[in-house]
Amino acid sequence: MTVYLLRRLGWAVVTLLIFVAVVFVGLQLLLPFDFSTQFAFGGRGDDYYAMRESLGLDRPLLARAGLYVLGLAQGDLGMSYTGEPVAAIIGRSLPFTILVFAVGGILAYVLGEWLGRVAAWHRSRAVGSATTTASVLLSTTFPPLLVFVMTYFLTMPFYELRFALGLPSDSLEVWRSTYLTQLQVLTLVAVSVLGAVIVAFALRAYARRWDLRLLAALALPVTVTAALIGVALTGAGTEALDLMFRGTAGVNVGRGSPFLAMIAFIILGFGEVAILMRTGMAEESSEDYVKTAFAKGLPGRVVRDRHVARNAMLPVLTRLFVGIPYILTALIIIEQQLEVGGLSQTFFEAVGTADTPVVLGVVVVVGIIGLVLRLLMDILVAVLDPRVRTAAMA
Amino acid sequence: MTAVATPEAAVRSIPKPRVPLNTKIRIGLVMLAGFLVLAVSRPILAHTLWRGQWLVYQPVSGWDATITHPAGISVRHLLGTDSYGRDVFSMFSHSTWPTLQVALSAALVAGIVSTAFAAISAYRRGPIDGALTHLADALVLLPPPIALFIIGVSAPWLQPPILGALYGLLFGLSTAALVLRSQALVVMAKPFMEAARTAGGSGWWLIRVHVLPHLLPMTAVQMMAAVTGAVITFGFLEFTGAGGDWFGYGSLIYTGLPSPGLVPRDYAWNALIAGGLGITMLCGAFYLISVGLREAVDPELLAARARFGKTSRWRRMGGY
Repeated sequence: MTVYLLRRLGWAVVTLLIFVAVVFVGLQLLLPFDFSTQFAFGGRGDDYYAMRESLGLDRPLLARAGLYVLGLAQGDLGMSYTGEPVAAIIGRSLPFTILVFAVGGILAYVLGEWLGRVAAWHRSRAVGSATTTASVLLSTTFPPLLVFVMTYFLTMPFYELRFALGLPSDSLEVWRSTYLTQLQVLTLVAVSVLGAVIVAFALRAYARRWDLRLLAALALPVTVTAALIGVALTGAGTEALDLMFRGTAGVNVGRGSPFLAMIAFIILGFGEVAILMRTGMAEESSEDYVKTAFAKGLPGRVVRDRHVARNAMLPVLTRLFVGIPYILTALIIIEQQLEVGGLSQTFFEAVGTADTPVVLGVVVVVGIIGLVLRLLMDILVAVLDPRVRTAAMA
Repeated sequence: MTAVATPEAAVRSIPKPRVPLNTKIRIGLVMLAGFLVLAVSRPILAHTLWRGQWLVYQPVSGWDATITHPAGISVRHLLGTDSYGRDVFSMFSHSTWPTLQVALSAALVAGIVSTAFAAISAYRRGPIDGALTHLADALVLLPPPIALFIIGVSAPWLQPPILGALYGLLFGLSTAALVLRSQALVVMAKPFMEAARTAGGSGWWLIRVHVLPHLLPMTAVQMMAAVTGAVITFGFLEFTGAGGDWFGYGSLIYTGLPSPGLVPRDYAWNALIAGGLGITMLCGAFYLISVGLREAVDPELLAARARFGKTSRWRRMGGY
């Protein structure tokens, strides 16, 4: 196992090096700007060349790519044209995106997995067709249009909710009178909700084992409500509510709300999980162990949840983890449309101002997140499935 | 029994793979044909029914002075008009062609690149396979939408077919390549490949006759996946104005929204719905063809359907 892990880690490093080299060279060709071209104002004298030499910009492209990789290994992503380190700029915006991504991604997975499982097992053709159609339609919805429709139809309910909850019409008033930051409040809400979901799943597993149907049905709503009450008791209730139902000077209600971004992300994301899960369940259903389970007299629900679904889940998870950079991109687009801030603001502003180091930094960070999660997934699969270890070492 | 002396003679005895047109493929093709008709309808209408009324039906700057705007559906304006007085059907058909160009070029390039990658990788193995796989692994980390956004901003002169082809190239060299490579490896491990090698089949012969036909269904699935991503990415580029002055579905949706600070501020729901449905239905058409192809050529599904019919058991195996 140790040899497998070391080998997998080594290949991940090679992959990262190729990725960074491709992105670095590609970006220098597409956005051929650097500090000297941006700020020398057309000058081509000795000072200009001295500046390029001092910044190392006179070196060949591949040598600069090598230096960038060396810097990356030390956590240095370069310097923005604003004079601020890129790592600091991304470090400010990344946690916001990651939190929305983690909570939204987990909820989208849970919803899609359940829907795919039920649709694959259901005998009715109508249920299967309806699930597939809805999944396809939602996962191919144009994200900006979805965001527009959501904000259009949720403006009035959000207004009414703000009024009913005693929030001022403008969010600025809430944040002026508090010492908390948006990131702190979002972290608190995200950790509480995720904790509640994990506890609810444990309770549901226990309830199913002992056939306690009421507990199984109430586990999720009760734990999530308890988590939200817990947030309110910490004294951050008003800020948390404002974060969900944001209002900007009484005009753009909903804009800037990470809660809405999360909902849009779930709507766009769960469909693909449902389709993959349904296909995976369908393929597993024809295996011999399913026939054996039925022949032993196990109830259909037990065969579905404890046998077929567990085997179908692994390929779905693997495919999702491979596609994490894509999924993160979808969230960045949603964030940009909702003006939530986070990584999207950093990326689109940097592209607009041709701030190449920041653009490069964002692309590299998205890639590294994808690579790390994929590596973790591979290790998890190898731990769970000895056949994978053996095949990989062969 | 006749002895088979050459690989050519052996191949002649193999039945040609057939792709029956099942319901899903038919519906998908009809939808796709609908989009093609829509794309060619505007120039035809401009030279027939709309002849002499170009100022009314011009998709970007048309204006019908005889009615108030935005107007609902009528015989004169099949999908109504937007807040600026432009005919939405004319805009819709005008924006179909660039989107179709993106979809088709993305599908074509992704299909060719990923199939070539998989065939070479699986047949050659060794260092070539290792290098190609590492490249694909690395490119998976670079999402094409982000790359296309940067390309669109820095090279606004690029036309829709080129952008579609670039999307197809990135997708075909990454996700699609990895999926097809594993499929090709499965084919290479089959006993008939060893038999073909023993019979004296050359490398190109084995790839062309044995590997490629087995990759086709999966290639089709990957091509459809490329289309969905390319169409949505292209729409996003247009919507945000990152790129040239093309007019696709993304632009159609953008024009349906009120421009801040400008009058009129009404929403053109007909333009919004037409653009949104255009994207979803185009992706849906390609998806249906993909599902239909899988169902049509998957031996397990075909055997299950022959044995059990279109029962719940067949559906559980993936038939729907």
